[in-house]
Amino acid sequence: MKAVAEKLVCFHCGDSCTDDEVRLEEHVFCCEGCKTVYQLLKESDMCRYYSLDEHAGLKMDRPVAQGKYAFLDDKSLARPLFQFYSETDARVLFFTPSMHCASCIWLLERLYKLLPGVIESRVNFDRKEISVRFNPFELSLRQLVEKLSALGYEPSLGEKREDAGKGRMLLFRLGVAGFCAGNIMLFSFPEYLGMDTLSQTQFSALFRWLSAALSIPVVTFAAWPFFKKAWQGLKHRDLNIDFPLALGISALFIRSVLEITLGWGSGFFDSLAMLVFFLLIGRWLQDRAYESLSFERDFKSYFPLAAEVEGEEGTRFVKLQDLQVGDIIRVKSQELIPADSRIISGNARIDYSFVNGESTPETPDSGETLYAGGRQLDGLLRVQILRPVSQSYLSALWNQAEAGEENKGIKNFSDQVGRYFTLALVLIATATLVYWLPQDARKAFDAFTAVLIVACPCVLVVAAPFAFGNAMRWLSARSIFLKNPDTVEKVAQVDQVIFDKTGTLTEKSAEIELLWGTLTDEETCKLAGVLVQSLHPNSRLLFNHLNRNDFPQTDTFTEIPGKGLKASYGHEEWKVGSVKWITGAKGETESTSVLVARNNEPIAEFRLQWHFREGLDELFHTWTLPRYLYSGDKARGTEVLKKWFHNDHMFFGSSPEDKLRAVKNYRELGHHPMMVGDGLNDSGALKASWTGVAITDDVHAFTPACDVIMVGKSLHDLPRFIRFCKRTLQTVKFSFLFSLVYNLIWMSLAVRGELQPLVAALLMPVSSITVFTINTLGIRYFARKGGIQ
Amino acid sequence: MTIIILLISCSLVLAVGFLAAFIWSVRSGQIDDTSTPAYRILDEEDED
Repeated sequence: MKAVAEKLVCFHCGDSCTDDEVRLEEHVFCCEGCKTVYQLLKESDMCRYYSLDEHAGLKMDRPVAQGKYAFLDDKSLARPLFQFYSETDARVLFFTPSMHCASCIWLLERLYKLLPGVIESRVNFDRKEISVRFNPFELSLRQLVEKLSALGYEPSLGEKREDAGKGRMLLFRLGVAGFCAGNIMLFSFPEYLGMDTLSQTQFSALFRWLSAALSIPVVTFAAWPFFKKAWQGLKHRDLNIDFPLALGISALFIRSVLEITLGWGSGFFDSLAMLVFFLLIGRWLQDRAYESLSFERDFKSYFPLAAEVEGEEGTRFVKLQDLQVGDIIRVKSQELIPADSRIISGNARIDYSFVNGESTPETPDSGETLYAGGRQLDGLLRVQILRPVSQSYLSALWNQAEAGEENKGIKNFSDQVGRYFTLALVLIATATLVYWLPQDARKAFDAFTAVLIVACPCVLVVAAPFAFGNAMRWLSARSIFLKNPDTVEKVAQVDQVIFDKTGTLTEKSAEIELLWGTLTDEETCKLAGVLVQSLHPNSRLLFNHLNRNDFPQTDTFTEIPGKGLKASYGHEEWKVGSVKWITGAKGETESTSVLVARNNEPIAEFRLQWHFREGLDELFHTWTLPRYLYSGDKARGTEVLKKWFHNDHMFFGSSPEDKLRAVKNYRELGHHPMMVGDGLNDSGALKASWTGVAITDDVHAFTPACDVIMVGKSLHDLPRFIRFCKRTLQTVKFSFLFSLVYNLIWMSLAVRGELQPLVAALLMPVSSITVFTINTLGIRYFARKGGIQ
Repeated sequence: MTIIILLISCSLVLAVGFLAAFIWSVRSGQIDDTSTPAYRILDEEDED
């Protein structure tokens, strides 16, 4: 065997390989999946895929389950997916979030070479969509989807895609406005150049009337959205940001029509058309910026959730979206039911408070249906999936969990400002009109419209969500998942951090030692049967240590947070937990010990030695934010902790209720505590805190109580994460200030009647674009500088 | 100066033509995707 000198990298996906076991010809692959894709491409002579972008492939270590797409053979289920269908020609549009480079486009647009029956395939890279035209006679929809999945481009079928043509109406309006504005300006040239006196009056009248005619489509068609939105606002007794614009446009139009009919002058049709044209350009740019964000922000596509599925050889973790109807999954104590399912065995006590707010748990019997989003409270449940998993539903639940809470965020602030600003704006404009009217009617109208247009606060309303969404995108690349954009602001306001110990500061692996006692084979199985039902880090660890899968089903099971587990097999009562709880011993006991008792008689004791996560020294050394530690354990091994926490800031032996009380206490004192926990036995505290951060290693432990999910290995990024959120908030505030100053300067000119409406129309979009640029560049700068990239 | 009338009608007809072309292009989806073609052009044409 020759020594492997350089790092082995998978030829297909570029991941590092542990050995060179999987190989074909001269290439090494990290897994069979990647090799299969290579073979597939090789057979069709499509290896150019690899020359466009090196290691362009997607890691294929999790093959798509057989029969996952069997439902596509059912015509009634498949039909809604088609955009067009006939016997020999069908068209579908898929969202494939995994496409990422030029090679992907190249391959996906050459599907016809790989798949007989495909007529044509086109990619929209921005929207990550692929439109496939194929012959359903030769190729079924199921085959198409399975082939795409086999290549690594699994389409996301569940989500309804917004039609790409949605933005077209805006383009039509833009086109019409541009056309009219250009022509009106041509007709206005004689006026601009002062030729109206020398040229024949018939021409000047003709030009004016032509301009008027051209401005009609501008007002009635191009500017229609402004009127519509303003009217919608008025109906709800609300002055929205479109109102001043609609008012300004109407004022310009009516005045211009009056001017030319009464022969006062040539009107302002040119300014009017240009204004609408620029406004629409601004809106178009805004839409584009938002769209690019919404396709990246789609956190559902990389949000790590999984469930434990029973298979022939034990259990395995499967991504939620890959669960199939009929799968039998295990739901442990405190876990969420991922999909509507039927109970097979186990004692169900389901808390639906996240779904319907009902706090009394329900206790359905075996065979009854459970609904997605419920949380199992007692022990292990085996359930069979009845309906496909809706990940979007679970994410929605995550978002909803705190919907009742009042949010006085900056977004709210900008809504408020937007409203008052609009009101103030209309008042100032009216005052200007009233002031100038007796002196100079023309100037009065100029000033009135200029004020309305130049100071439009649109950007105030969109800047914050845009910036926060942008920040969220940066963070997700760093495996920090935020519940919603507003969370950025909440994190920025954090002024103290409360840590949980086990599972948060410690790793999920630990050394386990049997202190005394011997367990027979049968006892080991029974112990495993108790432990498997709990999600507590200690239980999970011990369960993995026992390594038994043939455990019996307990008859009852209760988990007493902070104490231990109680279960029964017939008349046998088993207890697993702290020594103090089981024996009733007073005083100090070994906190890392787990005692096992049968019928109240201790039969064995284990000692668990947890290891702290790497990088904690670095994390705490440079960090100045006040921090506290609340641990369920006794004060043991505090030597290490003393380096990180002030002695008075460490609290041991605290139950979940203690943690919750502490968090509430800090909040009552006016602090904004961030709770960092594992989201299992401290979900109350997570929810009560200003922002809850759930640290997770097992990606399946999903808790709607938190605002942020962080992967355990990136815990040391926490200070960076908070700092980045603070900087983001500062950037937004700065852009607000900028916009305010900008508006004030131009408004002061406009009030004095020194700003032409046309110039105002030009300045308005400039301000919007500047604010967007400040936010985008500022956040990118801080992301780079703060190491979030 | 009737020539001006003629010229104006010509220019208007021309401009309306451009507008119609623009509307047609939007309608046929040419503006829906403005970034993929930039990648597409990098691909060499296949021999077939």
